[in-house]
Amino acid sequence: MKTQKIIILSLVALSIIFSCGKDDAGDNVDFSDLFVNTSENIIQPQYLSYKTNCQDLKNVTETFVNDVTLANLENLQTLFVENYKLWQHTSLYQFGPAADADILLSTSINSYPTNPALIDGNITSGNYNLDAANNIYAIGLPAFEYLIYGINKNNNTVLGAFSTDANAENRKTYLTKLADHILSKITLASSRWTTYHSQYISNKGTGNGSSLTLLFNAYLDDYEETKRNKFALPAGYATSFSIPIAKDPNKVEGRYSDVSFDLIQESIKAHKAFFQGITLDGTNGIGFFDKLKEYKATSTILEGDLADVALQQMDIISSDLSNYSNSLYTEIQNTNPDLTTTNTALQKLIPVIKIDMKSYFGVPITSQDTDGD
Amino acid sequence: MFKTISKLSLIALMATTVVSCGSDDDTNSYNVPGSYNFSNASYSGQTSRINMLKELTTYMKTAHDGTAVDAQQLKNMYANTNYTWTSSPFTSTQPTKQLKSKTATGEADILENWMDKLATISATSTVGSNGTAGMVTSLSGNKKYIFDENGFEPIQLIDKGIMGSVFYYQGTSVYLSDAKVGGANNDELVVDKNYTEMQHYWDEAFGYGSFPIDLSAANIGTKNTDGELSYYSKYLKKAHDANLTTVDELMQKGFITGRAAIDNKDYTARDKAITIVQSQWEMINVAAGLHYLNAALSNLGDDALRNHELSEAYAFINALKFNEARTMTIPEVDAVLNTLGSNFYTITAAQINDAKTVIADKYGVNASDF
Repeated sequence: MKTQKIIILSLVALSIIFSCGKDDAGDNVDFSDLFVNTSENIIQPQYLSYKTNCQDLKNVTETFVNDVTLANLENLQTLFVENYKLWQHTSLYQFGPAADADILLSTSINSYPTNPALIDGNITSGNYNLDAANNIYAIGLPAFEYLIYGINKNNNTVLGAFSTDANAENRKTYLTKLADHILSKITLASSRWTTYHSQYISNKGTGNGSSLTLLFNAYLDDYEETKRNKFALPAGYATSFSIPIAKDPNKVEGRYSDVSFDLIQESIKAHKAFFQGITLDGTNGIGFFDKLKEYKATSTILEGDLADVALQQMDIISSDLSNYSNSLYTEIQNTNPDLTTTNTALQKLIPVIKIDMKSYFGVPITSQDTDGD
Repeated sequence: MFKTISKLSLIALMATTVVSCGSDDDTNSYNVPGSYNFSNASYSGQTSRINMLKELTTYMKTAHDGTAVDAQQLKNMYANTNYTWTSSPFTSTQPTKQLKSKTATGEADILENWMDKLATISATSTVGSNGTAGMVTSLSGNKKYIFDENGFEPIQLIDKGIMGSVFYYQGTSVYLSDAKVGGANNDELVVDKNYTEMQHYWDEAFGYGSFPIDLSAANIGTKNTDGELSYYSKYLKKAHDANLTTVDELMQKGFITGRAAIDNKDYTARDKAITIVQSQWEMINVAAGLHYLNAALSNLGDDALRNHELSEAYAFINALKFNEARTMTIPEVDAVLNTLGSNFYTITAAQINDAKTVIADKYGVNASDF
């Protein structure tokens, strides 16, 4: 009994020694300037900019449904791709207002692969609630994309579906409602951030609900989502409980517009810009990069200065992605062996964030683990 | 600097350890041990019922492999009649106890209705969706659950339903009642036994929680959830993970202190311990309910995971009714359940959030901690 107590005591003491190390690190560097820069010069302007683009998307959608012509469809498609790229810069901040239950920004705007059968069913019945849980894969940009590109990327078929098809009117209504729904979510998130701002910049420390924990975990989660859902899962590199999941090109983001690589590229760009603290008007402000420099952080995964090697790895990924000549869908279908290199490059950054950066910031990883029943 | 801090923390830690190892700061004239290792503790009947539910649930889950489960067998297991138990605790001796007779009034019919539903749905190979009962696979392909046409999962409503209406009800209300442990004249040894009625009733309440006798906040993280912790002790971890002090309150200040008080005829301390057990055990349901509501929000678009998690949440929230010292009134609990609505397929995030907010406010906790 006594021995047991001593062992437990030493174990606890040991863990305190370790955790003291981390807490020390978190306390030595002040994140106030990073919070101010990210809120005032990055997140809030990004939300506003995305909101404006969503308003445009809604207007151009109305133009299209009121006058179903090829020119109007092409305009809509061009704007859609622009919007989807901007979304990659907007999705990084899935905390605070974005996580409010009546917003759930990422879930509402970009749940993919979308469910064509569900969308078609909703259009036929005309009876649906876009906020209902079982419609999540029938809303947002992926659903919008399916409607304006169709499964075969044939614009004549799309024009027919919006003009001569028996459900054309219902389809127009659905498309308009999707645009409204997207706009309403970003509008709410944008306006709530102005109030959330003061809480964000003052919520210091490294506890579970601290701003640093929220921001770091949102950054990590968004990168993991890019790595896994945009790439590894459709390309056949993802596993579930160590069992490999077979490739399925239908799971790619941008399945119907074929812009999957561009979207990944854009997401990496967004991660790089945020990491450096680059503001929307292009000024290089305070970001994770600068804080890691203050820590004089080194990487345990890649050789060298943590801030530098993380940035270099993002550049490696970007240049790797730019080498493909076909769409991601086609490259996966053709089992292009280069995909393995891309996967390795994307994967390398995960421990750099999840282990190296985390240990310097001293924050917990908050993503939920499942309990198995 | 570094060294000083660790040395200081070590000293501070040792100080707190010394304090917590002692029998609390109460001025008891008797010793309160640090674990529930009372020599005459006896709750084999409760352990038996817990193992019966395990076997019942294992049988129900064979439906996930496409087996048509038999409604009569489910009911026979529930009432322990015409059924031969086969799991390892029962290899040498068949249990003589039953779950059904210990169920809170009115609940047995509800549970048996779900058993009928489960049998009916499991007999078909229909894929479930809104409006159609059947099996639904998670988006990752890893999980399969059987739901009714509204997305309610019979297996969870039965399994967690029995936890609430039998284990929790018996543990917080029946055995801790004035009629049982509170009675003044039951402190004589039971014939042929080495314990008094009062001691035994207290042990029985304890036994319904499947708590390891040495369970504490310090060691709950090291106990595995696949045997050492099960049913209520497993979900107690959700409260602990949300930084609540439920583990030590329930174990040390509740069950252990209460049993020591009974042994020493300290009925003031016993009554205090009763209140602690009732309110802390309640927090396990609160923690599990909030945990599953959060999980459903994060898996909102996945019909299988969301419906499963909402069914779990529903059962834990419903269980709040079975504690006679409940914090939320029965109409208040029903109002939360109504907020979740009657269809888990078409539920909205706002509905789930509303339910969370009401519960969290009522119990003074932060819903996002779970």
